[in-house]
Amino acid sequence: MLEVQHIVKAYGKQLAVNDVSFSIPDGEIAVLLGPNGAGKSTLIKSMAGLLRFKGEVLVNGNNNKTVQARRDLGYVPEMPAVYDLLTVQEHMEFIARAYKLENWEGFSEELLARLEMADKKSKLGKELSKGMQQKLSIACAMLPKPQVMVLDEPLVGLDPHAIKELKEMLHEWRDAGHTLLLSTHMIESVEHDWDCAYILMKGQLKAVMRREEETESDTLEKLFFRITEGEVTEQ
Amino acid sequence: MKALSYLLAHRLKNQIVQFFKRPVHAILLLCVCASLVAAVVLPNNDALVNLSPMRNLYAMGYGLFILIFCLTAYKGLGHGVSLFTMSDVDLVFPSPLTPQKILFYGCVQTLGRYLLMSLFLFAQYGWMHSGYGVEFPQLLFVLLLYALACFLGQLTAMVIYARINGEPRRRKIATILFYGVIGVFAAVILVMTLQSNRPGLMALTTQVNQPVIKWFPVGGWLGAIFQAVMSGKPAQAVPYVVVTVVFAVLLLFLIRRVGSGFYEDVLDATARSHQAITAQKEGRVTEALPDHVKHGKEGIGHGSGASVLYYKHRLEARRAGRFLFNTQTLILMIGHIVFSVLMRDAGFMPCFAFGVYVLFFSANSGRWVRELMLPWVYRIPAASFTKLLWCLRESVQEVLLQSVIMMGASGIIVGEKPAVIIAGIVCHFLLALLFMSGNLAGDRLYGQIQSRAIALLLYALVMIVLLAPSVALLIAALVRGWVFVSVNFTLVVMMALPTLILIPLCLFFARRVLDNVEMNN
Repeated sequence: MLEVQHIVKAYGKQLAVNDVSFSIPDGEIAVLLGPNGAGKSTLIKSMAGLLRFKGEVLVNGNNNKTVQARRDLGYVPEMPAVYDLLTVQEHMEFIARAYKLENWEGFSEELLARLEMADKKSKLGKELSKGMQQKLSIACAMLPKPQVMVLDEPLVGLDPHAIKELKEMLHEWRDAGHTLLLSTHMIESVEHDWDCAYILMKGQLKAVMRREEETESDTLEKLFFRITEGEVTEQ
Repeated sequence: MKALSYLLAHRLKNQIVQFFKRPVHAILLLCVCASLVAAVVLPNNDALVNLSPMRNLYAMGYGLFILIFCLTAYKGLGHGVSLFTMSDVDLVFPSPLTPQKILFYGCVQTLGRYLLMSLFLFAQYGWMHSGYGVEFPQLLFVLLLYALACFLGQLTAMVIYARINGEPRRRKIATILFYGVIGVFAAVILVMTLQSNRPGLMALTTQVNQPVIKWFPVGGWLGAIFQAVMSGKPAQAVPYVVVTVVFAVLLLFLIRRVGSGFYEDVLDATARSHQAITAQKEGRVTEALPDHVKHGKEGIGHGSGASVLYYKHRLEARRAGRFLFNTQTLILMIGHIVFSVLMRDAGFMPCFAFGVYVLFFSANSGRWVRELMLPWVYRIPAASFTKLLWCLRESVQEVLLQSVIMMGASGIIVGEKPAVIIAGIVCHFLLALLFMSGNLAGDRLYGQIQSRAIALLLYALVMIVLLAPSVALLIAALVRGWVFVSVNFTLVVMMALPTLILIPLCLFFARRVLDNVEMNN
């Protein structure tokens, strides 16, 4: 379960995120939608504990700055940040040791195989393409099997196979009871993959739509454009 | 050509507009102007009547121009250098403009950039004026020579790269020639210095002023022009001006001869420079790595929880080809030892002071600084302070070794007592820890500040404040005449005492720094 309570994040006088609250229960995929500069990445970084902010983020009931919350929250950054001098396999070992995982090797193999990186295990971070770095970043976030995963634009830079595989993995994780939140500015890329959608605009949560509320005449895409093009101004 | 002059003019205009849009830049400019005005309007008459020997200034000039030229030209042996930006590659290269015009545009752009870079020399005006009577127009002349050294170094690098790219044999010859020229001049100066009656700093500056150094390509010629102008004998500069101009024309001719082929030669360098600039803008610390990293034994092998950071750092250091220290620290350490040799008559304290000055650059250059720029360390599920300590461990070991080598070597060179050498090592190490912990604690003060300039200013301020108690005790010891064991021992111990309180205090303030991160990039 991921709970976001009254998050406010400002850069000087500019409010990047303005009093955003929502919660995502276990076994659900939520998408955070918004145009460029809406505050999606700022909000996700705040959840991951990488920014100072006002408000509170609870991961399975624990404040996101606690050790337990860090263990329970997986984070895939928008820009993959891998270590130049570590091989792919060493990245996995690093995570396993840092999170004190046991018997992780099999799952690591599985993740790398599914992301088509099994033959890249001896490649250094600096030798990987941007797409490969993104895959590695995803594999590292998934290795500790966190209860909650937040993924910032995870599909950008991935090839079609990796996108298909990642979506399948996200569905599997959802079915296994994990909580997932992914941000994107491309609605069509996640049209079949969400249970609940949050639309962010200028740092404010403008609308929430659950999958069961979507009708042929009132699709998520239509709602998104109504909001981003200024027709709807309140939640 | 109109398009290129339009581009240059508008970029310059927009750069100036952008500069003044940020108040911090205006404040910095105001500070620089104020210091210049103060130096010009309020001359220190006492200093002006007791000017230092001009040969020292000339020697510094030769040293600066040769160093800048060599460092820039050296890039030609690696990935080359570029007169262009990534935007030029994307927008100007495919245009129907001739390569010659584009090359000229690149030259103007680069020279302008180096002139802008040379403005940092304004900050040196105070001591140049009071110490050597350098006037403002002469300072402007130094700026021009500095920019020329950079520019000609860049052109040389381009020519070298164009000639050796994809030719291993030529690369080998060029490398031998490059180091050979430097080695010959260095050996000549060294031999002449050692043969003098009293080898030391004075002998070195005297030898650097001998005619032989004027033969050093570009750096020596520019140094000779500088010496001629500063000594009021501009006619003596004429042959060196001529040879510099001929050399520049020759370089441009060689670049032009390859026609549009120089496009290919600059692509790699431009992309690398673009990446470096982007990284700098985003506040990322990048590491210079060899092209082909030797993997060696694979696997981190040790560590559980936060401790894995330390073992990862060790693995990374091995892969980066580092032998105990990074290149910058190694150069600073060698510089310190050379300084100790030259200043051995002055005793241990100047060497100790220089060693502390070196810490400003080396104490915060460890792998932990880079680690804090990436999200992993924040995400590891362990206590913040534990992670911090493991993150610092590799650097702490490094500065300890650095202190032992630097203080040990300078102590032996100046013939200091063992007790003072040991005290010097301990104090140097404690000061290094103070700089590191102070930097972390200071993050609470300037971590949220967006302006890098103000953050750097605050960093310097924090370091000065942290050193103040040590300096105060040092002065008190000198004034009161406190002596335990020996004067130097007392002074070193006085420097160290406040750090015993300040280091734990700084670490206490920094204990939650990983929980209060502001990772905007």
